[in-house]
Amino acid sequence: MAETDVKICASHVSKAFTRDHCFIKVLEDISFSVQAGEFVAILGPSGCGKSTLLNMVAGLEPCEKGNIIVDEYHTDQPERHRMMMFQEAALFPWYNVLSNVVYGLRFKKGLTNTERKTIASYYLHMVGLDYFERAYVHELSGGMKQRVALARALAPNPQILLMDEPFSALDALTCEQLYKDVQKIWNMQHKTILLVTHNVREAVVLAQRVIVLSQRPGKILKDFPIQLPYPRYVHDVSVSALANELVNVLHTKGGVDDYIACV
Amino acid sequence: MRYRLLFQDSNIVKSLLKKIAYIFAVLCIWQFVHVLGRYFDLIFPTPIQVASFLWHACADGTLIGAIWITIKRLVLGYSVSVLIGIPMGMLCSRFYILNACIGKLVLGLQTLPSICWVPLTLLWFGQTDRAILFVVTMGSLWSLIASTESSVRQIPSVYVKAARTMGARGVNLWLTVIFPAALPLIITGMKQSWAFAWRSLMSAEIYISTIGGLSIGQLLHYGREMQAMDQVMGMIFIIIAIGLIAEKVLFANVERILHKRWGFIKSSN
Ligand SMILES: Nc1ncnc2c1ncn2[C@@H]1O[C@H](COP(=O)(O)OP(=O)(O)OP(=O)(O)O)[C@@H](O)[C@H]1O
Ligand SMILES: [Mg+2]
Repeated sequence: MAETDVKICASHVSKAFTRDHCFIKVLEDISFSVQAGEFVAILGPSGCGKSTLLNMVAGLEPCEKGNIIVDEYHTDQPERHRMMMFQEAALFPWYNVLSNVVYGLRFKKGLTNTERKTIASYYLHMVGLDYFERAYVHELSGGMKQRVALARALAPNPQILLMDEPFSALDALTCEQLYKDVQKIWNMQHKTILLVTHNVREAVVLAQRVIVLSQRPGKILKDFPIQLPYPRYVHDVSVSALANELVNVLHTKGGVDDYIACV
Repeated sequence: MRYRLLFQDSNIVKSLLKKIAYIFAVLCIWQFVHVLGRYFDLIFPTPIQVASFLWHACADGTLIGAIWITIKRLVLGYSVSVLIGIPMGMLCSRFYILNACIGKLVLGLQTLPSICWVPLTLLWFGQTDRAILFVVTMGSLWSLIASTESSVRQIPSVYVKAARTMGARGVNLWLTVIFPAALPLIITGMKQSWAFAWRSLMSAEIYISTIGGLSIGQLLHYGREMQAMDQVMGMIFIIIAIGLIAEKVLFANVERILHKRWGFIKSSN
């Protein structure tokens, strides 16, 4: 992997929120970089600021200190070459499945409506939902919703895919299937993927590298390479071993210094 | 399968029969009270007298004409409310300054009983249709602005985030995401505002007598002037019926369908 091909570069990012006159430090001095085509997981306990970090990479929230640079540009606006999947599927219930996926292409210029539909169908086929184009969101199961959300995120052909715990609300079997699918798609399409999760096994199964965050305020505890061959399965022994190792890291290093300064 | 369908059918028939039985029982009690209390027909007519009034009013066309005139006013006045109120509510939720300026005004005017607009509207418009429409609009507009504004503020922010990453901006974002996301709650607000419009219209029609055809409110009012209690009670029934049909049949169904599809309530199968 060429060292020069840096896709996402965060340097000294900090973020705090004020709520009810309380000053909550969420992220502190986060620096990392992601190579083009790399699959990186950000692992951390609940409430440590993972979603906030991902939102900042997406350009949905401004950085307070430091900066995040994607392709040599600051991330102060969302862009279609960085697509995001959310904790909830965030599909639009007023559209059917096909229109939801088309929505990702709706504001892309130089496409006719039929072309948009063809592309959307292609990605729905990729995630295995050919027969549900006309279905509405409330008629889908949780796993199907996340598949549609995946298709919607892939449809504009983004270079970067940001995933914010997209599998956290799903049952184990559905997750297993989706892990396979995501690995397949990543392998096929060579996207740069940044996955946020609090599930150690998920991080180990999917990512080439796991960035471990501490409790709030989130700091980088460790940058942990996962050198296992793909495709990986949740029940592989090597996956379990590495996951255990990671859990140990979390226990030894993750001191609880919850830090809320009331002003 | 077939057996189940039949079974469900007979359930529907059963519940219908039950409802009819209840209504019949209430009518019997009414008649009984009339006989037992030895009330004058003038003060407390029997159900049969009220029914016969309604029958005759239907037959000579006054009732149908009155319903037509009243519904027309309701639809007109309420449409004006909707056309102004929903965009206004959305603008208020978007622009802080607008909300700061007229938010409090809206809250104040919302608490004003709509009958209080009658003196003002009589001076402005005289005894005309326009005066009545004004009361209907003033009675329903403010609650609609307030409810639309709060509906928009309640939508899940993840919809907006998702749409923004997909390139939606400005007016597009509002039309394709924010408005539809808020729609179920907006409909609930519209239902409430419709109820205000209906109440305002009845007050206005009783207080403001216009030249031209008779309206429902006027029929009720003249019932009093002619001391025809059967007419008064008959008109009250008509007013209740119109209210029930619009609220429980029209709005409630639209609301239920939207809330289900938008995932506010889980579907039960
Ligand atoms: N808009 C906001 N205003 C105020 N506080 C916020 C805001 N967004 C997030 N926070 C706070 O920042 C902290 C981190 O939130 P964040 O959503 O990034 O956590 P997370 O790591 O994604 O957690 P989870 O795993 O539960 O999703 C939380 O304590 C939250 O209360
Ligand atoms: Mg989160």
